[in-house]
Amino acid sequence: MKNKLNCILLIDDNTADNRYHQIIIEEMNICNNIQIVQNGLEALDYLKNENHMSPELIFLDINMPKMNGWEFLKAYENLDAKQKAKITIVMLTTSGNPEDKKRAEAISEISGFIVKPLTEEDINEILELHFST
Amino acid sequence: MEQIIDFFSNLFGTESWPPRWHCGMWTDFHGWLYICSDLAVWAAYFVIPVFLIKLIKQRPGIPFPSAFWLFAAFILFCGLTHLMDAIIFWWPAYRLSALIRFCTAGISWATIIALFKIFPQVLTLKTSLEFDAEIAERKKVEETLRTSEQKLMGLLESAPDAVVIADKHGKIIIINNQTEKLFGWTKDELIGKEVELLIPQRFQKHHPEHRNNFLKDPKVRGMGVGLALFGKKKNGEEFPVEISLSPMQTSDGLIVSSAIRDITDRKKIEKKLEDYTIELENKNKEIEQFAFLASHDLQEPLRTISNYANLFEKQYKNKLDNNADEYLSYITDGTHRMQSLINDLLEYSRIGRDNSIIEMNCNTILEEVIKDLSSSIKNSDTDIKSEQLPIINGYSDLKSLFQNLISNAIKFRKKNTQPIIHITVKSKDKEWLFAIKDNGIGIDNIYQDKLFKIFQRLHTKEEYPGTGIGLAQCKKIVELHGGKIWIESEPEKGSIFYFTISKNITL
Repeated sequence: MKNKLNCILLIDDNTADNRYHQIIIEEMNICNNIQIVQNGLEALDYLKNENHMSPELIFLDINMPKMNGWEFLKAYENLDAKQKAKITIVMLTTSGNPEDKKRAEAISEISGFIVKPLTEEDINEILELHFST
Repeated sequence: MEQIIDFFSNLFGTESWPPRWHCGMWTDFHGWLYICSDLAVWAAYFVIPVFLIKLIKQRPGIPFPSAFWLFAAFILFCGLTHLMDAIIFWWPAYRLSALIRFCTAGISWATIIALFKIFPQVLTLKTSLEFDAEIAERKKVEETLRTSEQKLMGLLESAPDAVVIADKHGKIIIINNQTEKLFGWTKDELIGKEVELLIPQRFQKHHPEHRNNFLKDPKVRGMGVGLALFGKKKNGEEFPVEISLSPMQTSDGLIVSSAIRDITDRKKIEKKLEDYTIELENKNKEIEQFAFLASHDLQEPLRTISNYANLFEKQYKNKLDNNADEYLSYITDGTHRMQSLINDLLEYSRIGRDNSIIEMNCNTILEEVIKDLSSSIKNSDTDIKSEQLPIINGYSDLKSLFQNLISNAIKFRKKNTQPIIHITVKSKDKEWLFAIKDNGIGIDNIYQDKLFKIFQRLHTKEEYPGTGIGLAQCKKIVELHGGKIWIESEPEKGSIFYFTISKNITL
């Protein structure tokens, strides 16, 4: 068994999806903590907060009000290295639009591109790729 | 020499000879017969030249008048020799007689030489019979000309178009009634005027130049093909026209006939048709956009249902009663089916949305497809053979076309027979013709036209899974590439799917 992750951050405005993904992740028992925010702005606030629990893995939705996934990524680039340390970002999308996929592949911060819903296999693959020691 | 001088100095001398009466034995009868005949001949020979000269004086058109003068002189001199012969009976001026004879001989030979010279030309002269025939012929031609002129006018008048015939300077020679009606001018007003009168002001300046260019290479053709042409009525009103020009060579030089058609109505219809087409295209785009957005946006709520139905099934199956389990299974089944339908619809409406045309190697595409389908190819032991395929310009959707057709061929294979798929291609004039042949279950004729319609299925879900969108996608992809798709098939023998891809694809 691999080491458990400390924290996973879910950024999605869809509460049903957040809850579902939370259940899937919890069932897999791979992390101690799951943090949920509703959009990019809230995510930035969360990451900038001194007392936050630093996430190792972020699942990022694209379409969100206030600040969407792409806008979040732009703002994320400007964060302190300390705040970004060791973070893996996986993009979540509704439709698997090939254009979105192309766009995501061009951004170095993004480590994966998954069409919702998040499944056990998806998570295992991510862990295998980015967190196996 | 002495003799010659003597001859001329005594030209009228008679002393060396006796008059002819005294020379030999003349009877009165004999002598006077001689004298009278000579005088009669002289008189006649004197009158003939008078006629000849009168003739050429009064009929100036007579050919070779110099020959007539020569004839007149020749005959006159012949007459003189006869006169001299008669005079010698009393006045024996033999020297003068010799001189007259010499002159006669000279003029005779001059006449003969002249005859030699003009004879070939004389032979070509028309006789009056020939002239008569020619005149008759001419009359006939004139008559024909007149009738053909009448026919031409009849034709001009019966033509549906306004016809304006102008000479090479652009002056109007003939117009028909339709021209009067169309332009509002009368024949009298137009004939002799320049054709530019019938053209709107703004085109008048360049028209003579166009006219001259036409005259440089005159042949039957439409005027200003592809350009919007306008005519101008007497009242200044403009209207769209179509004009065809035909040059005619006449004895007065080149003339040009223009058939002018008022296309106001046609333009209106064209405009209407164009508007309809644009409207239809917009509607079509709207529908496509609608299908895209609907399928895109429906995914999210549907996913929520499906996620939680799955979760519900996972956590509560066998914990409720049998009915609950059954109902739940219908819910999850239904959501899954709807998900695949919506997914397919989304994929279908995405075809061509990424409108960039790229160069693609069909061999590479096929390799990728075979790789993607490797497990089903392996499981079914399918043998795929292909000719060398071309490199073509097209949309990236082309891969789905090959993928759909090949996976269909594998899916609808015959039981207990190794599936064999054969891909061939032919280069045609303007397109590539691909053929994908299988030895599968085939399809009955009666279903073949339904085959390419969206969500049409010929088999139950249990027999062959699928939403029935694959071939509709193929059709859309092929049409995107300016091509057609069709099938030749016989049940139990296999199918050949043909499709064409234009060699010149435009966005």
